[in-house]
Amino acid sequence: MNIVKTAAVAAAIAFLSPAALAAWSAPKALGATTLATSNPSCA
Amino acid sequence: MCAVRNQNGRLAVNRYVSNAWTGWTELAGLIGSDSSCTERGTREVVCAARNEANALVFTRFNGATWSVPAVVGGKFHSAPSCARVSATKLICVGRSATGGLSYATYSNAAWSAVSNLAITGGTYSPPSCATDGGGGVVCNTLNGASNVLASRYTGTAWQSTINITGVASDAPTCVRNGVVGGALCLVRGNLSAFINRYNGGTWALGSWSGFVNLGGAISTRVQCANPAGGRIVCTTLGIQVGRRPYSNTFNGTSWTGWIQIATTAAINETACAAYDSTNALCVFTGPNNQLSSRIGS
Repeated sequence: MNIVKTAAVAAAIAFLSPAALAAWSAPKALGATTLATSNPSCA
Repeated sequence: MCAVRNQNGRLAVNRYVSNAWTGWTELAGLIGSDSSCTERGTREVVCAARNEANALVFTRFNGATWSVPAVVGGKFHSAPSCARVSATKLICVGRSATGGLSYATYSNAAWSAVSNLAITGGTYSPPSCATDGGGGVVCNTLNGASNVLASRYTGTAWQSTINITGVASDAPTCVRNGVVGGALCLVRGNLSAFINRYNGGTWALGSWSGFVNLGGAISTRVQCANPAGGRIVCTTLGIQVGRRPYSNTFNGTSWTGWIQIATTAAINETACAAYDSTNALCVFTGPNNQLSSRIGS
């Protein structure tokens, strides 16, 4: 895993497709009163 | 259930109930790190962070309300990573003042004293810990050569730390992998995600699968959830301008590969939790610093 050619891995990441979008729900806002100043955590 | 440090330096928490977010609740006290939330008992969640004095602080959701954040103690030199040991016990782990690991366990309603685990050569990243589903917890961190170090808490004691090799370009993350006694950990190596599985058994390098390249061109740590069985849903952000969210799901046999799941830009790391037996609920931070969630796999 030490060295991986950037071009190769860039090619490996898929582009957006309608089928991919359909697998995830539409976004839901958690609310505008909180502005993040860290990474989130969920459980 | 999700938590984040807000614009006031306090822990803000939010619950997803009946297909809707209940709204943010700002808890008392200042924190100075990312938080780490983990389920313990049924409908029970504990979130911990370090405060501005670097002490571990926590709040507990009992199924109805959040406790007022309280100080556990110690000196944590990274954000903590908390993981379930059993239905009545969890552990929170962070970097110690001397480069090892500091940890405390929360059994029933009592925290242990904060103790230190020496790591030869020291740790150079925050740890990430995951339950093994069998009464233990597996943690990964990095050494000075960016090799991945694996430590295992058996429920009562730590086993010796193992160098599981690899060269990481970011701190590792770990998730339960559905094998009782095991865990799956990930790192970013250059721009790709690499996974390494521990499927239980003898605590030794040979019990890890070795790193496998999941590909991708990613810009943040990969965050995963284990909805059920061997199913693992992971998300991260791509490297393109206006970084977009991507997912990669393991169905027990194979990975989907990285799939872009939104056209909107995101910042920070993602966070995921099991939603049902198939899907994860993941949250993403927009450039406006506001969070949104998506459910999927």
